[in-house]
Amino acid sequence: MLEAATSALASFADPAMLLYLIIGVVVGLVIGVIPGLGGTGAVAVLMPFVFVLEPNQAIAMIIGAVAVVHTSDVITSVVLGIPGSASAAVFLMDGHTMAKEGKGGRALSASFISSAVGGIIGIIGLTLVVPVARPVVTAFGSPEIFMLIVLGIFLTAMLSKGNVVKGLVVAAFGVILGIVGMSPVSAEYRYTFGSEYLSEGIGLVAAALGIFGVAEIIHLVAKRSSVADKNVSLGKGWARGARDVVKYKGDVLRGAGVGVGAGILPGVGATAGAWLAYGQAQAIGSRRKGSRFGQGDPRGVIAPSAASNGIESGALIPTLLFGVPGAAPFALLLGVLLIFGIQPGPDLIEQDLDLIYFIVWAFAIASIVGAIFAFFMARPLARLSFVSFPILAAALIPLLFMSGFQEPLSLGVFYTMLALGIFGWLCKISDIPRAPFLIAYVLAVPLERYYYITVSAFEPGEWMTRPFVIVVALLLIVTVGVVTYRNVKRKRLHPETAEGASAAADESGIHVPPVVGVAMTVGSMLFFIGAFILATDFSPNGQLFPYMASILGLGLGVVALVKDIQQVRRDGGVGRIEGAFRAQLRVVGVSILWLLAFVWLVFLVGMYVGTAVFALVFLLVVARMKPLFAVIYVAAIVGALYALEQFAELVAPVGWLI
Amino acid sequence: MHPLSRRNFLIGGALGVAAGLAGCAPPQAAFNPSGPGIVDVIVPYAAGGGTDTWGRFVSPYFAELQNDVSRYQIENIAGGGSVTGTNAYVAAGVNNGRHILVSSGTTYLQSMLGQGNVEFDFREMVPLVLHGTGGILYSNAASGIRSMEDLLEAGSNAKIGGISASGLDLVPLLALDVLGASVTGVFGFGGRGPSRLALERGETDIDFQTTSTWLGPLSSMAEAEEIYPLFSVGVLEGGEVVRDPNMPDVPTLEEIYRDIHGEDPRGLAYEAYQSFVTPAFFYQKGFWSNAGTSDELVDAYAELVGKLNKDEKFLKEAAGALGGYELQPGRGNVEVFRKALNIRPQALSYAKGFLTNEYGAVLS
Repeated sequence: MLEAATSALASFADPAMLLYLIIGVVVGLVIGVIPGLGGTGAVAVLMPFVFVLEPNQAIAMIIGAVAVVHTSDVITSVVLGIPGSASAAVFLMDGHTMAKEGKGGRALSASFISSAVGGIIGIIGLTLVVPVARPVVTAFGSPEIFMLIVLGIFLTAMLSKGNVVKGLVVAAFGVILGIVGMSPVSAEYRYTFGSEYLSEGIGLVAAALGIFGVAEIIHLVAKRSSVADKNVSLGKGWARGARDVVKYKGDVLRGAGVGVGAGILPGVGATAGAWLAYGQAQAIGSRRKGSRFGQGDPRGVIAPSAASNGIESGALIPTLLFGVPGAAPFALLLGVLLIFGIQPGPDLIEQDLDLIYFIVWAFAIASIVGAIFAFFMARPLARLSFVSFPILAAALIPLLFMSGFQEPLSLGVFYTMLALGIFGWLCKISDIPRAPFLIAYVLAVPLERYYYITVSAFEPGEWMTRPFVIVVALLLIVTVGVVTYRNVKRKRLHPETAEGASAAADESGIHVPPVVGVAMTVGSMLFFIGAFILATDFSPNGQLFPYMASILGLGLGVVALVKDIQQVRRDGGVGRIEGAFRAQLRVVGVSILWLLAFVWLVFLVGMYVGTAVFALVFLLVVARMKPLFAVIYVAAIVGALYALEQFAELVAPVGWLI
Repeated sequence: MHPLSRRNFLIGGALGVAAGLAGCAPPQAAFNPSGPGIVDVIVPYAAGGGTDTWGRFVSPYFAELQNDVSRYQIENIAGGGSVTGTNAYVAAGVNNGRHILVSSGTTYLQSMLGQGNVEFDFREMVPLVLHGTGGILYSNAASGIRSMEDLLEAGSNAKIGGISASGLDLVPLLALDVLGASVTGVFGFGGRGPSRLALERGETDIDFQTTSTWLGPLSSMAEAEEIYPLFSVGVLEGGEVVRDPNMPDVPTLEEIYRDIHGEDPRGLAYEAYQSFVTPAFFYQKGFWSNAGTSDELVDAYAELVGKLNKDEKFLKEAAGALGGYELQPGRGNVEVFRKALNIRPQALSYAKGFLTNEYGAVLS
């Protein structure tokens, strides 16, 4: 065993091997930092080169990329509040809050170091787990995976900042949007209205970038300010982050542990894993003094960072030992292994132990190199939080829409993103957490899949009495109980500032009248009624899940409405759209029109010309840039898009005319 | 009233048209040739999937042998369960060999069942290269099912795992119907891998996999007699189904039928099974060209396939991609393929009714 491990390490003494690994790392970091592009995108970029290399070189390159994408996708989450991937949405909780307080550097360095350490812990764990992996994976059946997914969704809704009931309502909304497309249980199209675009769903990237990215743009362009509220220099934050990691080493360990566990089980996924890690850190951390989870606690960054690399290393187990990809990018690795004639499976340990150690070492080296590179990358990128936002928006708008376009390759997605952006902004100002929407969207299909498999393969008495199912069910009950108890207690202590009242004021302190909350609740209830009616046309298997989601959503909507009405009573009326709020609405309306102008320009003259015209006018009018700088900047934006098309295999939308 | 000047009218009209156009999303698919010496290849699946890697791996060997081709340029157009990309390919309509399609079993079945927004017909298109695989049904020993007789006895107590009854899984389902076995379907798995894991966990009792999985991850379990092979789909040899040379000990469905009934299988169920297994397994992947492709091009590819099948270097390097099955030319195989796709309406409606009633498949 030791011999295999050292001989595998020796293969990295070959500079060519190390070079390919580093190429993979660089591609992974660069692709990871672009919002909407992640591990799958990075491997797709490398795909054309894979077959011209030796098998080991190709594997080193792919592992290099996969090991680091989650290291760099944290950057945009923390700095701009725009998650680079669905799992990075967890960093909006504490990481982005830290950046707004001017502690972005500290958050990022804590994140990079803990993700490198997490990756290494994950790899050590993986090596130890290999002999017992088989019983572990086979002990976790469909019912257990189903329960873990439920736990992931619930934890997100319960732990997110803001209105818990409405968080659950948006989760139900996310579930319904998540199942648009081909049904996993009956292979029929649901909620597609005959459109080819919707046949593959509305697109995960479009959903994530719409509800967070576009919403942020609408919000901040209107404010004409920068992301960070205080003008604090990044300064010593970087060393501080390293000290945080040392101080909270327990969270690094536990986070990595949760990550490996989530990674080993195919189907749980990186997003649920990141939130499970956050959840356990908060549960354990809030028992101690000085916990500021949700308000910029470094542990809220450390635990999910350690987990994200733990997940990737854990996901290697099902990929290599069972031939079942543990995470999306590993499906691509699996394809490459098969083509090279390497057959993953239980025999791989006996026949190809060298290969397993080779992959283990590649992962470990990539984790460390990736963290070091990420520091160099993050320093300039972290300054972006001090740049006036309209200047950033001129580049962000084309980039976000182009990323969202890649999955469906249909321009209908632009309207989806815009609509979700407006919805996301409404959530933001009414203190409704958006993370539950995203995690429910991501997990809707696996949730339905594993529920259906569970009930068709087991009798109810059989699966509900399995020990792990009971453990998770108890955990769920305890979490719901604790959160409800805390809310009741808080209400009793401060009756005036009960959640409703604090909810009505958004971050900028502008009073949002209760009518907005009422309108959103009523709107969501109408949505669920519509979803229910449309579901009556589906096949019996296919309609079960939409029925459950819409009834649940409607029920939660009723609870939310009751709370809304209580709020209206307290406020003595539904309030009026006036004063500062009215002014803000007007500005936001203008931002939306700008975005609409961009969308229509692209429809008319295609991505390049549309972007150039839009960005130039936008920079001159909104950002008030000097014409010379504006022209240079626009050229750089268009050049970046062109580079993405040439080197990252992205497709630029074509317009009617060009 | 102020008369509308012609200039204002034109400007107004142009603005109106532009506004109208701008509001609707323009269609995207359009064929832009990459340049001289480059064959553009549409893969209707995402980069890195089985069909994509097959296409990317095999195509450079063709380019090497072709004087007028420097390389094959892969373009992935995923969506609609491979329908979007295939539609785009057919819409481009190029049939001179500069623009070809990589296709796969799922796409053929969708066109046979008329699923989704299918705008293509593989009976009219022309295969240049075809490549098959084998498939095997096996059981979990712990379930007590160790042979076809056990399975027939277990009846609906036996559970088969799968992705969906209207996809490739319909092949084993129809095969079981041919033998008179009615099992319970557990569908919804995200892929063949998760379905195999479910059998290992004892959630399902029987499962269906391709040859590469049987010879790979499953081989040690088969040796330890934790799983038992039931039957394979076999391979085509001169139009006849014979034992798969990659699993010489596993009988074919036809052999099992003859053992039980003492005669060759026939009937609507078998007719439908044959029509589906041929495109889904015997000719699972391939390079295709649009209708109207010249015989010269078909012959040229047949010659290339002949050369590659004798090329030791290719056979060695591509062993993983080929999975034990030779590449086959479109020439000489297209007739069998088209015959299978020309399924008799009675057999098709039998299959659709069977899948809908027994396994809850949703078919249009």
